[in-house]
Amino acid sequence: MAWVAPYTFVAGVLTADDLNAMLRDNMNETAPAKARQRNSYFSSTGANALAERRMIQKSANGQINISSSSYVTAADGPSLTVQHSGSLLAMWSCRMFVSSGVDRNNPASCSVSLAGQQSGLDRWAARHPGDRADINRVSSYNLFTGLPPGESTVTLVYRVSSGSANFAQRQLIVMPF
Amino acid sequence: MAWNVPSVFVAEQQLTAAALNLYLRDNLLETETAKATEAGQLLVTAGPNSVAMRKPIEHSVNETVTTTSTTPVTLSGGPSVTFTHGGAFWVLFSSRMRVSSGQGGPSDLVYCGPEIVGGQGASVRRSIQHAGNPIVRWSGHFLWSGQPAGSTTVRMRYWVADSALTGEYLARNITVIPF
Repeated sequence: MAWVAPYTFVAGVLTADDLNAMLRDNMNETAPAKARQRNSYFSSTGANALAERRMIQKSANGQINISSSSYVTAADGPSLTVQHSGSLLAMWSCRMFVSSGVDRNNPASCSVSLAGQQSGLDRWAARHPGDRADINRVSSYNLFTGLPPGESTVTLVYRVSSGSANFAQRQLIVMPF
Repeated sequence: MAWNVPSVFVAEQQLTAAALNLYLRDNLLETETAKATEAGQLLVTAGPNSVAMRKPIEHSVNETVTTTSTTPVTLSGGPSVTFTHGGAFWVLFSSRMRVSSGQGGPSDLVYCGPEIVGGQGASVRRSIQHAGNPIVRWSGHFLWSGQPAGSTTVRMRYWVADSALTGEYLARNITVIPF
């Protein structure tokens, strides 16, 4: 079904078609008709069209050690798959510990990737301040826009400039629109 | 248009075109579905019996900029966003930043943070700050409420604790979720 632009009634016979189009079909396009669960919210999928959306979170508390200079995923992610209408807000944080050989101007980074994307991830990466032996929780976010509407998987990714770093208590939140 | 409190129908009541236009057409036009104009808008309330669709917005600037100003200044590229809201909005802001010269101690801070153009200015209380030479990304957030509803512009401002310091900023972002 789709939204039927409400029209102006005039004196005369009210038909079943009128009621089905204006009342039934349009009611079925509203938020209460589309709500399926608690704690969701609604965003538009286009003009006169809505979808129920849900903010979700995933944590991976275990510590991982990364020595790759390009972004890599961890076996336990975290990773989240959401339905959206072309945009989503990702927020993430983790504790970082630079264990050896850090470049202070290009230290350990924790970012998010959509569908295996590898370019541009430093632009929104959370980064360790670079001092060895300091454990820091760092966080970052990015509002992704202009995505093909549908399903996207957001994955936390990690890298170091040199040496290696530990990442722990990793948390990812995604708010799809 | 405005929401019309639905009336109670009674038996034998004549259903008029005027009643249908008031309770059906006009109220349908006040629903979230009628007000959605494009993909990605968020359903929020705009007051009693009133909803609106708001669009989250962001602006990113990769260009590197510097300042030695001890009062908040605007630097090339902004970022800056203009949006419509009902009196509240959630601002997230971030930048990669460092003290590129003049650093002497842990209090030698460089700052950046959002301000409402024509309204509440940038403040240490709503800023991200950094005291070191290594480049670090910091991010912050602030929920403004009790603002006049309508169109608002929020922009990033930059400053340093002492004019002997140079603050350097890159990969700057402002994101706003309007309510």
